[in-house]
Amino acid sequence: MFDRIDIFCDVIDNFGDAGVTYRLARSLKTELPDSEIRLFTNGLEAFAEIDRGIDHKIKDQICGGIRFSSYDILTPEFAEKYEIPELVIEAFACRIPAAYYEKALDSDCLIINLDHLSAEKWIEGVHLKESLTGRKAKKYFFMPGLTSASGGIIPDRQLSDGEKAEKRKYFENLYGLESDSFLISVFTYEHDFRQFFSDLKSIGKKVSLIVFGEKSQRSIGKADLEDDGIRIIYSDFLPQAEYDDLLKACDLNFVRGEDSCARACLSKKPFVWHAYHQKDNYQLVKVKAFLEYLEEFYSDLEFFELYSSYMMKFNDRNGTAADESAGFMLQNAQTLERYNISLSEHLIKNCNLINNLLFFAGSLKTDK
Amino acid sequence: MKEASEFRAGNIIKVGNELLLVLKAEYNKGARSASTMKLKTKNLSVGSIAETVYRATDKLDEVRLDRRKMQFSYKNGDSFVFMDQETYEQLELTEEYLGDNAFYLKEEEVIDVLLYNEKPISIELPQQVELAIEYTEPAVQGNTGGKVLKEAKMQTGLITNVPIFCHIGDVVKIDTRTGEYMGR
Repeated sequence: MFDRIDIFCDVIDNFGDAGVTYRLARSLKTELPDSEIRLFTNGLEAFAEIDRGIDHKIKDQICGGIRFSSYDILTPEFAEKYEIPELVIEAFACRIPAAYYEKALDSDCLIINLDHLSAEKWIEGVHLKESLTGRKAKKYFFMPGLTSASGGIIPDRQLSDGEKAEKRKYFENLYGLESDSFLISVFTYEHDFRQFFSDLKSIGKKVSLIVFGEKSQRSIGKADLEDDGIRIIYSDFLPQAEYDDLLKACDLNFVRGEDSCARACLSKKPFVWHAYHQKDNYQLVKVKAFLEYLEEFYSDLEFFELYSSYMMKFNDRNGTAADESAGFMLQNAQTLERYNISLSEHLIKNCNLINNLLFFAGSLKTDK
Repeated sequence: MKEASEFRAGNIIKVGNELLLVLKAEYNKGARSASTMKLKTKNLSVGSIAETVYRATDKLDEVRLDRRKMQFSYKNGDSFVFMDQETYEQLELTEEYLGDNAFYLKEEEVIDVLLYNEKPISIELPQQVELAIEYTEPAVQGNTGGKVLKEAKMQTGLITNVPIFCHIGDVVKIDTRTGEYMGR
């Protein structure tokens, strides 16, 4: 369908941008094994954290069948000789280096501006709309979302019950955990977890928390809760596919950013989404839209209200809002899981970003 | 060149060789910093209407137009009739050209009519206008359900949200860029 696809990614902060584009590149490679997928970035370091096979010091390398190239190689001389592929993906409104972009605009390529995932309704009105370039190249907006009228989300490998049990065992061995503990993964931005710890103490279960990333680890600090049956493990980052599996093996997940939110939705497991902090607490608009979307999967509205209220408070960064009690979530993890199974099945069936992207790009190619 | 987020209904953009009249401009705040601007435009050479999307920070070419101060006299079908107060010359603009700007026009208001090749193609509005509320539900005391705004229809047909203390007949200030309530 497409012999070559170039993806561009500016790494602004954290791992969200790199995480999504890495996943996109991998999924495109799986879907189009004979195509050359190349990812240009200004932040190879972040990719090296996600995939240990990537060496951030090497400016142009192939790893897992995908070519990773630093923006540093995109000189005017390089661009002059380079043949622009038919499909160029510009992730998250990044600025493609000028030498490449100017040449692309005068070529016959299709540029897709891939945005961040959002559950807000307005994205459906922007999805697949053209952005006029005034030049030869065509450019369109592609908006990932959770409905069939949006771009969808990148699917990940679904596990059978047997595989899930195996994965659980694998992580228990990896982290030296007891098999009967309530397993929680934590990958959030800065947050005050005191209320949550107090909730954990009161449920009377053995709990293991696997904590990822500097921000979560700093937030949890040196909490010593071993006497209360709560074990905290500070973990290095896992390779992306392994983290996806971990979410499916845990009993509860705290996830941050858009891509991990999508993974949590697909994991079928109970989760709390910590949205990226925006000016004026604007992330609450995003969280509210997400919860409004989730509501349709919950038949018990009183239960959903507790869940929704917990997640809103968890995301409120006004400095005074303490978390609500997570007791209901810890006591009813299986109920939450039941609802999330319908959510995940709906997404897998109707919202496959890779299929949507390739179908749209392919249809424009056919129109030429 | 001006950023896409600064474009409003009535502006003209030049893309390639095409001139596009902005009929509606919608700003949406994205996740992180990637906000978008959705523009409904009319192609002035072929008359086609299209919706296009830009990053809020994309730079677009704005075409400067001639302008004349004119008074909005009356509406005749789907035409808005404007009169030059010195020469009494009348010019007409249809709703198709005015786009969302039609929601802010009150009779006898003096505004700038924009001309391209001596032909009127749009108007330029002040940043805010005062409009009377034609209809809104009365607020029931103690039953606000946590809401602080309610829907209201203005005298020009614009539907927007106003504070619950507003009543039918109140004159309120509306931001013509966003259609939002600014005050009484």
